[in-house]
Amino acid sequence: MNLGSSFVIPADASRVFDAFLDPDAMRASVPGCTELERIDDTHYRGRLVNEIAHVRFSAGFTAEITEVREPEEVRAVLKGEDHRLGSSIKIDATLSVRPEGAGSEVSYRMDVALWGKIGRLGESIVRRRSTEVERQFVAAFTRICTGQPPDEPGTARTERPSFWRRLLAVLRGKSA
Amino acid sequence: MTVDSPVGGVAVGERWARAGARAKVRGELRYAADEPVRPCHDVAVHRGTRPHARIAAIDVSRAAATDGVIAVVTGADLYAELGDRIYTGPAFADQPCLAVDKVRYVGEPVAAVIARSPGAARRAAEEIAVTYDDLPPVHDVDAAVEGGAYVHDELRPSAVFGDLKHLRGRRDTNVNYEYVLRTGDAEGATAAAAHTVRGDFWCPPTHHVPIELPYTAAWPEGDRIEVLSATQTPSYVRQSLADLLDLPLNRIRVRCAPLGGSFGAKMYDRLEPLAAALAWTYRVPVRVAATREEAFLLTTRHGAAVTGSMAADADGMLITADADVRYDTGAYADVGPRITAKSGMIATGPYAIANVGVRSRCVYTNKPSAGPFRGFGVPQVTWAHESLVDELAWERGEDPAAFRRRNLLREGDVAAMGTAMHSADFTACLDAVTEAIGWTGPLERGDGRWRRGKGVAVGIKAVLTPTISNATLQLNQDGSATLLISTVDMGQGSDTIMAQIAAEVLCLGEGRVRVVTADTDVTPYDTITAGSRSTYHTGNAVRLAAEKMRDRLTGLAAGHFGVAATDVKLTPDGLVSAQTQRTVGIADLLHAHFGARGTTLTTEADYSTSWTPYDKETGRSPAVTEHWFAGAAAVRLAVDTATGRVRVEHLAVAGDVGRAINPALVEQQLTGAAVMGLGHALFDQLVFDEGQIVNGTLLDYQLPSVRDMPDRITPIIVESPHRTGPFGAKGVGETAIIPLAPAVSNALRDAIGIRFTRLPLTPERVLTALQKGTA
Repeated sequence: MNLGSSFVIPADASRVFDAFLDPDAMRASVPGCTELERIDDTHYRGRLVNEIAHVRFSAGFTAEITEVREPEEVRAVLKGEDHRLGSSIKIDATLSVRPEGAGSEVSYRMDVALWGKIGRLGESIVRRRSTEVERQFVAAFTRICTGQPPDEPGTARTERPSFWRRLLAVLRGKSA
Repeated sequence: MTVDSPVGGVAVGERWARAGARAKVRGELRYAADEPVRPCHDVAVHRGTRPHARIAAIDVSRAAATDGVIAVVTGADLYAELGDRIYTGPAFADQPCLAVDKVRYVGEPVAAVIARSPGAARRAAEEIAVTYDDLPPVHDVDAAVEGGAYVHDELRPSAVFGDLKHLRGRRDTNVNYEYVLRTGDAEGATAAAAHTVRGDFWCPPTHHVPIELPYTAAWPEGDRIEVLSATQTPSYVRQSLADLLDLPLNRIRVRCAPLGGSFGAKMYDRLEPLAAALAWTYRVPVRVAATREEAFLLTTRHGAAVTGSMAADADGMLITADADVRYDTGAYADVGPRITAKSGMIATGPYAIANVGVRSRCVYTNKPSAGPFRGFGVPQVTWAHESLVDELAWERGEDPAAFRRRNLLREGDVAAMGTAMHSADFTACLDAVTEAIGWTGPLERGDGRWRRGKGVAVGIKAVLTPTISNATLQLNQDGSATLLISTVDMGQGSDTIMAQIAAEVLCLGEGRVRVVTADTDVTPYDTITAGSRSTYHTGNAVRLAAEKMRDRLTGLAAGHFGVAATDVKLTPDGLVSAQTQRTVGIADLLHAHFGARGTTLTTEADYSTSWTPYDKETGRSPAVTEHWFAGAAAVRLAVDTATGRVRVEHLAVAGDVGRAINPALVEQQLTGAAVMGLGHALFDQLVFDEGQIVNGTLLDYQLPSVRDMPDRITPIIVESPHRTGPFGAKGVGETAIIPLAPAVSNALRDAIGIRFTRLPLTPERVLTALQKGTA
């Protein structure tokens, strides 16, 4: 599955580019990223907790930076696995940053392979969810790049539980 | 032509009610999972998440610690017990029931949990953690032909098909089998042709989607193992498990139950090797019940690419055709090599063509294994040749039906693969379907949003040969009969058909013959229930057993009457002496003979067919099959040019069945196969992304619903009796599916002027083609 899009961040390109390689900034920006640490210059390790449709996953992942052309483009391979769900993901990602007026235009292309239960959800569901995730990411990343205080790490995705979780909570007599 | 003449005429040709129909409608029929067996532990499978990878490590510690778990078993555990016997398969012994060292498709079983409840098994299976070292996968069939990444290190032919043994040990290839047919001079004839058409065609992989899900229970019983399974092939499964567990055949019992549909999905090795290996190795009773999502991973229909051409001379006679066929068999060969050959040999259709070249290959890829499916690979090649021959007619400016009719094979004609035609009346089928839809009548074509068209296609298929069937018949003292065969009734109505054949010979009425459900401890060997072979093969064994019974009865009656056996005739009223005009009923005769009530008279018979293997260089054989299936489909349809949706207004299907033992069941088979074919034409396809099925649920996988049914369906029985068929009969289960998709596509070509080469003809595909003006 190929995913790709572009968006504008109101910050200069070098700042945006640096933020992409900063594990703290990314942990605060990527929805559901609960852990992210740099192992060495080109390797990262982390955990992503998120939800696609009705399926909640918690996947440990690694990222390897395969190519960097500062401050324009970075290529990386990400691999993740949720053993409990029997699901894994591999992403070949290319991210480009170029000046756009007073800000920067960020473009990304991802060749995504999703296997197991999450993969079986199908492209249309994953694509729709990725659009939501991108929107949340851009909002959080903009805060980081513009010097505003970030959300708590790992909370970017949790602004509102899904309808079904809220309904379940109501039925169980808990606060939604 | 001579055909067996029915003596009593009480059963064959009658529309007897389907055996078990009432129980099915009332929900009282017990399928395998409903059968009471001893208490079994539940098995859940942990499945791989990589299309191609080495298994670096499997951590089962958390799974083993889960409440209710009895054992967690990996492929390595079973390999330690079974060695290379863990690899099973009908053509190649290449598939382990749990992955050993490598996974080769997303969803492959990697480990199994035996637990005291389904929930515990499932929870524990989720706790298994597997570490993989990824290998380069190959998903596309043509990329797999090119090589580079190899699904298997070497080819491992099984002991089942002896003609594949020369392939043992072949390395660095994904092509596990290749069939070549050469006759005449295809290239030279093409150069001299007046009209030539070419095309690249694609049929996607599909799934069988039987309503009943796969299920197997297995348990040790002293020094034996017993298996209850939803399978079409109990005799094969017994042999396969004997090889797997290194046990003699008499220590393995495989029981069946009526199947809730199968269409090839429950054949050969499915859940049985895993269930039997766990039960035998761990000495526990187990049951494996596949979920719907798992069923999608168990087996599929081969996706197939066909590159072909056809050419005609100035008089409109076909002079040459060629086809390059690539079957995508997925990660394991299953019966793909047989499909490759049996379909390859008729890849240029039921036409008299002097110059033919076919190359048909079976190719491994990193996808779930493809296996037998109603039609055995033939619908895929028919999609190509019936599109090509149609386009050739258009190019000549000729009526497609008339063009076909002139070129179709006739009785006695020798087809390109070297075998003569008999009891395969293609022209009668073609004429019947075209007449049914009013081919030559006016057609309101429409000039606004809706456009209309008509299309026709013809199909040919060889019956599975050689095969073996046995029948044991017990005539009870009260005049009822019990028939023991290993043919499995899966909705096709074999229990009814076989009862009618026996009843016809013995002049018994409806309901007097009961067929015993297949059980290898009880019912005799039968190769398989598949490929539309049972009516002919098992039917002949039943007929012979019944004739032996008739002869024994007439002998007993002759002694009873004190006349010669030739003087006695079996009639619906009993046994009659022509000389004395005395009559004795079966009940009285057997009571007098045995001196007791409740006794049985037993006869048995076997029926085997043979073939001449095709020449390795030319692919030709003078006797490649016992008989041919001939069928045709014609369609009148309307296309919504605003949405691309196709609505079939009238669908006619015809099949030459030799002789219809039960016309009602024949019509139901023709109709059922046609509707399934309509699904393949318009909806069905497995969608893959990086080797992952992304529509493997019934929410996502499209099947024809009642709203997609044609406005009118006309099933037509054509009877061209077979000289050795039981009462002239042949099978019919696959006949109508074969020409269905091209008939629909040809009608689309007629309606909107666009030739489609890829299936299915979804609204999106049709609409896109309408916008672009081409497919």
